[in-house]
Parts: sequence; structure tokens; C-alpha cells
Amino acid sequence: MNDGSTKTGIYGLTGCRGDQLTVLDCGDRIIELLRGSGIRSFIMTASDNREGRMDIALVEGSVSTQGDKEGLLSIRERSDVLVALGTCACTGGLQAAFQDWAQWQENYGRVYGDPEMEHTAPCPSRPLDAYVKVDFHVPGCPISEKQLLHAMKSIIASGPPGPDARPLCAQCALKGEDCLLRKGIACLGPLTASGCGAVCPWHNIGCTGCWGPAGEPDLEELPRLFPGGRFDAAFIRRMMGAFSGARIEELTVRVEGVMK
Amino acid sequence: MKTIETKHLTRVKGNGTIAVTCDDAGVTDVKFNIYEGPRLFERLVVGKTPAEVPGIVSRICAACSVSHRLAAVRAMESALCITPPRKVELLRELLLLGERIDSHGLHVYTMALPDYLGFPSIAAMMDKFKFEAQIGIEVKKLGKDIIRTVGGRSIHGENPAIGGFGRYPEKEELVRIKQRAGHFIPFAVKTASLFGELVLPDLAASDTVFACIEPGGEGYGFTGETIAVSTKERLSVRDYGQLANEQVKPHSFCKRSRFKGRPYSVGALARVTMFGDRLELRAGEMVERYYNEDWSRNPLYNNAARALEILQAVEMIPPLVDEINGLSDPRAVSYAGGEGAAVSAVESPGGALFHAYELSGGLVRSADIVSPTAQNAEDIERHCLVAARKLFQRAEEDRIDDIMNMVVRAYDPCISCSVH
Repeated sequence: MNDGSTKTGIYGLTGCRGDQLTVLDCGDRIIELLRGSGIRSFIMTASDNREGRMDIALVEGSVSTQGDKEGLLSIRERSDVLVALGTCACTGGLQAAFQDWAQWQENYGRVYGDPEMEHTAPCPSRPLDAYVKVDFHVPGCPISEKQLLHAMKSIIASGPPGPDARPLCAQCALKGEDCLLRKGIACLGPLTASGCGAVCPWHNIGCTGCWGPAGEPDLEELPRLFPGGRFDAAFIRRMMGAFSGARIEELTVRVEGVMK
Repeated sequence: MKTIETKHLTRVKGNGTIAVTCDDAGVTDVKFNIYEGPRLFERLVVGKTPAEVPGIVSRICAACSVSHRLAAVRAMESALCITPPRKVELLRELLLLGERIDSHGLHVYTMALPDYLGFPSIAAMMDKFKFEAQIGIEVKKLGKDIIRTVGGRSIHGENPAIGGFGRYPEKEELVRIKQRAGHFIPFAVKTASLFGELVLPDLAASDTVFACIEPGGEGYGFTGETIAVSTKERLSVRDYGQLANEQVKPHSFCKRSRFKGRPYSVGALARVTMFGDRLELRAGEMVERYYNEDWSRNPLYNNAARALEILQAVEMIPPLVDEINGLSDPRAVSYAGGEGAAVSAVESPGGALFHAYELSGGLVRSADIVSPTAQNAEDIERHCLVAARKLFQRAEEDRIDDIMNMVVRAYDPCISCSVH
């Protein structure tokens, strides 16, 4: 049926469902954007899902099983635009901390032992673009409604724009003496992608890096991060490792390049 | 021998199917296949400091992010011998009430009600049942407002910390929450009567063993030191492993538990069945009016129990806000020490949640997390088996997909949590 709607499918691989719940919270605003019978498949909220070709597929979660991978390949094949929704889809998320196969297997074994699983094989968690071309990344843990709606508007109007590469400091209200780093509070803002509005610093809590690494991290702020610390690869890996998942190596190389 | 497997379960949180196996004589087995990927949270926290743990484990789930976060915070406080100030305890209770309103509200209106009104989704029922659909949207907004105000964000807020909060909400923000909750009471009453009056199919009905945390004190709270089982047995929370004996099964990345060999159920129906007499005000009237002996045998009544808990939560908020606003903001609690072990139990929306940690040299040495849906999985299979058998006896196999979905859905399963 061609009613001018943007045929959209909303999917989840392995994740906490937070990004899909945020899409749901966008409610009327997203339905208006997509017009008419826009949302064709949203398994978490409806039982009358129609698969087939999609104009836009929003995919949350990391690829953590063979089944996730097969599902993702199918979605990519029948969708014009694929959007990686949330930090798990963009960097692999928290679960991608074990990138090394042997390290992952050891930890998997500690939790599950060595069973023969019937339905699908698990694997080290990876972001979507480890397996398919991703047209647009919307990071966040979970995503921000504003960032999502902005991305959707751009995609529908004229195709995927580039993501905002600035670090979180660009959005943070705590400037000058109010900066948490100046107060000796550990804050990963200079290294972290923006989009959340710096909500945690507003609560006097240092940024934990949950949006993943910034496209253009502020490497001049680094000396103020954890004064007295050694800014080497191990340090960066420890600090940003929780959410940067598969993207951590790129960030580490960049930082080391500057620190030399 | 043939196996009928449902398509991907819909209107649940996570990835799974139900597989019904039968021979000429009838249904022999039902499996709740859970192929949602393992994220290994119990290993991700190993080697982290206590302060890092709550933010990590809150990501196990978006609907019960707060419960996971607070279970970890409370366990760390217990292990490090930190006693949080009263205002902190009360704000945490407010946060948990907000989470319950949000999660239950999402489930009963968006995920469950469409089945009982004959629609595939809340969007589809918007025309004929606009009033109900609107309540479904408003209840989530209320829940999220509370969570955002106290927690910092509506999902995965970092504000609740070990010993207190990063930033305490302003009095005016809490007064606004109090007013909003008060205005919602008539809609919560409507919700309770809507679900209390639904005529529910009894295909899955069977005697059930329930378990929940016995609320500390005399109210209908979220935490306690004792596990109550409907067999009249009591266990210390420390001995949670005797209740949830977690075993790996090959069709499920979520581990399975049985209590003395028997599947059991946790969640809203467990809480209302065992401690419903502690509900007060309109919620207390409603449980008197609607609860009957059918409830404890039929998992579909979980939704009626959730509706009662939404009402209970909104009624509790105004006096709670008054008490919170009467206290001044405590100073930050500093802590030291790095040895200890503790178990903490919280009644998350889906049921009893256990977090256990061991600390050594200031870092986490080991962690064990038992989620509600993992505990329910065996009983979900059992109730599905009961329903599947009845359907086959009535030659109604074509309804298998729909009915299996309804039974699983009644548990508001959080499959992502169950695997973690």
C-alpha cells in the first residue's frame, strides 16, 4: 500500500530494550513523522507485524548470537536505510568488553559451564557494523528522544546526515569553575559522544561514557582528567572500556597519538 | 511426534518462542525457548569498584533498571557497612514506586489489554477504546516523570549512588510529583476495576507455588530480609540459592530454577496473593472487592494484580512526598574499605530480584544475579503445558500461537533480564 508513509521496522537483537522503549515514548511525534501506516513491524508492542521491504529499519542491540547475526543480515537485505539504535548497536555496548575470543570464552564458561546449546550459538558481542553496512548511528544508553527525532527527520527529508562529532562538553552547562574536572570529579565528557544533554554532570555525577567515544574527542582536556594519572592505553581502556566496546581500540590509538 | 513452535513471541520484552511437542496421545512437552544473547553481566562487574557496579547492572534491563541499580547499591552498602540516611531510603522508595507505575502501566495497557479487547496492539485499539488507550499513555508519562525527577533520567539514570544521591530533587519538583500522582488516582481506580472485571479464560489454570520478599515492617514495601513461599515456608534472603537453584538448560540462555523440585512463580500475583491484606485505601478496597480463589490458580490474573499495585503506588506517593520534604538533604556519605560480601533482594515489577556480591581488595571478586523472569521460566512452561493440553483436547490447535503468547505475556516476562 503506498499511502505516502515511511515503511519502518523497529527491531531488537541483544540488549536491554531501552532504545525501543524510547521509540515508544516518542509516541505521536514519531507516528506523525512516519505518516499513515508507517510502523510496519514493532514486535515489542504489536502482534500484527508485516515484514518485507522497509524504507527504514531501526535496530537496537548488539550481535551476540548466530541468530542475531542472521536476523541482522535479513533486515539489512530488505531495508533501504539501516539505523543502529543505541550504544549496543553502535559500539557493542557493555557486553562487548570481552572482545578477545579466548577472554570471552573463559567468561562465558564461568557463567554457563560447557553446555551444548540447542537453538543458536553465542559469540563475543559486536556492533552492527561489524557485519553490515550501517547508514546512520544514533548512540545513547538509552538514546535521547530528541536525537532520534532529529535523525529520523533528516533521513526522511534528504538521507542520512553525518553524526555530531563533538564531545559532551559542547552540551554541558558546567563551564569554567563549575566543570566537574576542575572539582576533581572524574568525568569522561571530553572523550564521549554528545546527545544526552550532559544530564549526569548536572547531577554532580561524572560522565561514564555511555554514549560511546566522540567522533572528535577533546584531547586537550585530557591532562585534567584524573590529574596525576598516566594517560596510556591501559588507562583509556579502563575508563572508557565499559561502554565503548568494539570502538575502544580506535579511541586508544587516537589518544596515544596525541600524547606522544 | 511433532513440534509446533510459535513465531517470535510478541508484546514481550526480549527474544523467545514457545515450542509444543505432541504425539498421538496428546501434548508431551512445552519448552520456553530463550535465545536472547548472553551479555555476561556477572562477569562484567568482576574487577570493578563498588561505585562502578550500579551503573553497569542497571543496563541489564530498561524497564527494571532502577530495581537492578538499587539492588546493587543496597548490596554494596551492606557489604561496606554503610547505613543510608532516612531521606535516601524514602527517595529510593519513591523511585521504586515510579518504576512500578511505569513498568506495570506499560504492560497492562500496551502489552496485555489488546488481547482482552480483541486487538493486536494498543495502536489498533485507539479508535474504539480511546479512553483506555489514553490512560495507557498517561500512566507511563507519570511513571517516567517520577523516575526522571529522582533518578536523573527516565531510563538508566545515574543519580542514585552508594550512600545517597548525586543531586537531591527540589521540594517543588516533588510537590509537582505529588500533585500529578493525586490527579491520577481516579484513573488508577478505573484501571483496577477494568482489569478486576475482565472475564479471563482458565485454560492455563493450575495450583501454583508463589514466592516473594516479605516486606520489612507492616506495609507493602519493596525490600526485606525474608523470602516468603506460599507453602508457608520462610527463608533468609541470604539463602536465596535454596529458592533459586539456577541450572543451565540447552534450550535457554536464561538459567532455570525450581524450589525443592517444583516450579514456582514470582511477581505481582505472588505479592498480592501473599501480602494483599497489607494494601490500604482504595487499593485495599479493590483487593477486597475483586480478589477470589480463581486468582492464585490462573497466571492471567497477574494483570489484575498489577492494576492493584499501580493504584497502591499512586496512593502511597502523596504522604511519602510530604515525609521526604520534611527532611533536609543529607551530606554525602564517604566510604572506604574493600572487603565484604552481601546479598540484597528487591521486589522489582516482575518479582523478586537477588543481587549478591563479594568484594576483595576494594574490587568485586564475584557476583550472582537472579532475576524474576529466570525464576518464572519453569512455571511459564508448566502453565503453557496445561493450556496446550486443553487446546488439543478441544481440537483447537489453531489457537496454540495466540494462547501460548497470552500465557507467557501474563508474566510480563523480561527476557533480557532473565539472560543478563
